[in-house]
Amino acid sequence: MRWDPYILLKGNEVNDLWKRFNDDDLRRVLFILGKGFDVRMNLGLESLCQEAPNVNLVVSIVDFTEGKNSASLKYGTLVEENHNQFQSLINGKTVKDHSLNTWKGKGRKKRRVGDRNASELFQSITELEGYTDIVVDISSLPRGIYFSLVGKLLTLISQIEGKSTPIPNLMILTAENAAIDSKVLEHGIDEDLHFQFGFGGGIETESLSLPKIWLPILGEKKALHFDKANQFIKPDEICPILPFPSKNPRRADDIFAEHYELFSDVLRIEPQNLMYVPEQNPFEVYRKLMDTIKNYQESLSRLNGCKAVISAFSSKLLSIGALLTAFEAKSISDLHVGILNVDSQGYKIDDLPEVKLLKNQSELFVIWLTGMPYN
Amino acid sequence: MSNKNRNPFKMRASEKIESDASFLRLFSPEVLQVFLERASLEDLWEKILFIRSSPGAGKSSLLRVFEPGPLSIVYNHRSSQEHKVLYEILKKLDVVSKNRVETLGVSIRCTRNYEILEDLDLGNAQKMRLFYSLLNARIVLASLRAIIDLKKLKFPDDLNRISFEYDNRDNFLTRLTTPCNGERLFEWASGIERQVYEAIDSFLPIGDLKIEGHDELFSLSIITSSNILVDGQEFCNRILFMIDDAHKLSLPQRSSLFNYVIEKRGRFSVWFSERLEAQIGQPERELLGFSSYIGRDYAEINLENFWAKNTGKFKKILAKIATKRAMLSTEEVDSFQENLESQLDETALLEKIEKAINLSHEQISKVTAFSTKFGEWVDYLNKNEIISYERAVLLKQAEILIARNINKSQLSLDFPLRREELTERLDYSIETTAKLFIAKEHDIPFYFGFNDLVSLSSNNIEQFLGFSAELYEGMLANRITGREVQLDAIRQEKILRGVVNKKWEELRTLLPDSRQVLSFIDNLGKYFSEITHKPTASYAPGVNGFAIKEVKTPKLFEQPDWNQDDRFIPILDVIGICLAYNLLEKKETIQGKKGQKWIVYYFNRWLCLRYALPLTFGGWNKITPGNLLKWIKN
Repeated sequence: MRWDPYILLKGNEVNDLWKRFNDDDLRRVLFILGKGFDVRMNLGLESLCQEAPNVNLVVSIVDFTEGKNSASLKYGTLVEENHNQFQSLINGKTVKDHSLNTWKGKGRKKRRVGDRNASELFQSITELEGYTDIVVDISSLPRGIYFSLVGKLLTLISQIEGKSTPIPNLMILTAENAAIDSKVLEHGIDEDLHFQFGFGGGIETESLSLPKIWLPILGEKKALHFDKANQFIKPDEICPILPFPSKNPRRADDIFAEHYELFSDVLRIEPQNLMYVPEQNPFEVYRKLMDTIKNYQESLSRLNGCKAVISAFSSKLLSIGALLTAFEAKSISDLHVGILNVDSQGYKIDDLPEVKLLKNQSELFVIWLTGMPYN
Repeated sequence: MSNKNRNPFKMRASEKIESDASFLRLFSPEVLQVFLERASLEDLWEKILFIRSSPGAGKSSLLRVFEPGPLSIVYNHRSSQEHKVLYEILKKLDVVSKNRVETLGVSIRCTRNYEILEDLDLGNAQKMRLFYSLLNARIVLASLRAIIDLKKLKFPDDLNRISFEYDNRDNFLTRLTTPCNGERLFEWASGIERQVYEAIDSFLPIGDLKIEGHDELFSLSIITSSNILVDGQEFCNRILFMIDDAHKLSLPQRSSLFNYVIEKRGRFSVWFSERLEAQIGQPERELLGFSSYIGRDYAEINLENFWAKNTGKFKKILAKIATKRAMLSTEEVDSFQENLESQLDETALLEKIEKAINLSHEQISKVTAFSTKFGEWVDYLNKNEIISYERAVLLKQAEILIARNINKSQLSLDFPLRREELTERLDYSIETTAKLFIAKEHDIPFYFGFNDLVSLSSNNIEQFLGFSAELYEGMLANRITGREVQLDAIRQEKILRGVVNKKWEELRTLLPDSRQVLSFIDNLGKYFSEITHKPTASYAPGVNGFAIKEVKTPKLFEQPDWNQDDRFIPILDVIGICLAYNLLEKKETIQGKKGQKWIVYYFNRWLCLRYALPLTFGGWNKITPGNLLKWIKN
């Protein structure tokens, strides 16, 4: 497997990494982040600027639109606060602004194009030349955008693997905080679902008529998302994935209880299909998903194998496990793995003062994907 | 998947049920009535057919019956009690005969990946060529799979038992030599599909496209029962192409496709199924071109409208569906309709009924105190002292009639009214209104019994199952706790309210532009409730629909119609969302001068429960676009 062994850094380990950046004059870092209302937007950049004030840094900020009626528009003040803090952090640094349309068309015929547009933020590997490190901070980016963005960067970097060109360190950075996640509620989930751009996995091809296995990674308050995705995928087998071990040891049970009716009465999922992954380790999610898909592929070889669909209804940290699995599967000829996420058209913060207080309890994670440790 | 089935009503839609046998076990053949009617008009197979409805009305289930799996089961078990009725109906439709399955249904599901072609960096003509080549490829692939299923062949090994005899006389095929076998045909179509798919799902630039582009949907003309043979023999009489979810195509794709099939007037049978939303902002004539006409060039089945005209039949179908589901339960509650009490338990509600009677008496005494006009009515109403729901309803009706009379009697003479004048004016609509008023004022159930459950379902099978699942859960709970399984009216209404509240809460998460849409519905509901519950009940039994009426004031310059005015675009968007999510039902009605036609948008019946409105149709008001816009924004 491509990411076995792997490098996952958290908390102080992330600060130590930034310190090493600071001590290395040859480093040139591209830091990509989203402009949004999430209170965690600047946590990663703030820690980098604090620990590595002398680093040669270029910051790319992605300004994405969620549509004129988005529920999150009312958090314009938060976006502004975040942006002001961002401006003070990047004082004197090079900044590149990218604007990205999430939608195309109007009214009922508008359709989500954010994932496709995100993949076009970087067109070719030449745009990455000269950077020793590329850090994608997904704390304030929606799933629909960072899946395609990271997928594209991995694809561009894969093109130079095995060649003499130095391979940049590609890292995903996220400020993890399950308490904040549970207070940011999705509103207006997409009616018209589609596979994540670049991660279709051939699932919808008529010529590949194979049994469909669905591996949804679950979080709280996702019953409607789950139901909607299920109706779209029409899977032959469902293996729900729950977070365990987790900081709250009852979390997996609570999520199961919340979805009990759907699992037992509506979909009649066998209890032995439930799987568990550690709450804070996307690489373990990736390993588990790869093993499961390969097992199914082997078990169903008499039927010419299977198609696997992964959905991330979980934290951003765990969702990276889904991304890595689908990316690796693209290079394995017999594996057909697609990603179906259910995006929403806006967000509502349940208790904003509380969320602001919780911000400082967030923990930074770096998921290191390419470059030095893997060369 | 577990075989244990505690509450089979929660298996929501028939098309999601895994095996064909399970699907048929739950399928009610009577729903094919919609096709029998078309067959009698002789346009079921000859004309292009559009099947339209809101989500959950049963389009996909209807189409699934014509797929080879279910057809084979029905044909092979045609004498069994379980499938006999369906077999006879399919025989009447010319889908099966006593010798074989005559019609092969080929299902093609439209998904977003057709629409995504619009995002490629290509010219419009090239995009359309790719669209047709992808659709042709998928029709060929789906047809080969359907043949394999129907003839119980092995995939892919038996593809070479299929032969494709088309002689390419029209030069449609540039990269496939014909005649050829099924294996070669499959390879050709798979190649096109794979290449198009790579083009739409690649992170890297697509470069020079070498995909075979097609100018038309020739697959419909060349995949015929005479061109495709199995072991050298014709295997059916007709191939039916069922293009499901056509609303997911882009506007240029839909327009081009519909025009093509209609103009071609080929000898193929094509059904399109799509949601009603596809028509919002796209008048039919605009989409199909002015040369096409419903009836002459194509036929349409609107499922909700069909069932609205056949409510008796629909009720029977729902009763059958409910019985079939209950029978599947492992919990030994094998009937449903019988377990829904259809009358109020007056003993349990005695206190509330007494309060209602006393309050009506007080109210009538108060308003008639200074007039002798209602003396005979009051005497009649006071004569009976029994405490019963019937009496409470009678008193409330009298209260309404007195309020009406006082309201309009300013100019009339104060002659006393005869008792008969009261009883003559009592009718169904006043009675329903009275019950509705009592229900709201005294918390006495109004929505209960199987008939109300059918009405609450708004001609939508999935909605019926949603309500029924929770009612059945109540029956199961009664059984487990050792009580009588039957649900009384109070419990039924409590359960139904629970479902309605949950649906409402879910809308916050489910709806696009939820704030605007919910604001619109809520303001509309409050408005309907206010005018329905006026003491005079002027619109008895109540209002639960609206039409948009433009009030034009004379201006120097000619004003555009409201729907051409950019300010009112949010109204079109919100109504479009409401129709797509089945919150409003659209009906045409004729009223006013010169038989003026109105489009009336009625609340889906579950919203009527939320706002204490009657479940009947017919009560609607005209509302200006300005007011609607205000309700969206506040």
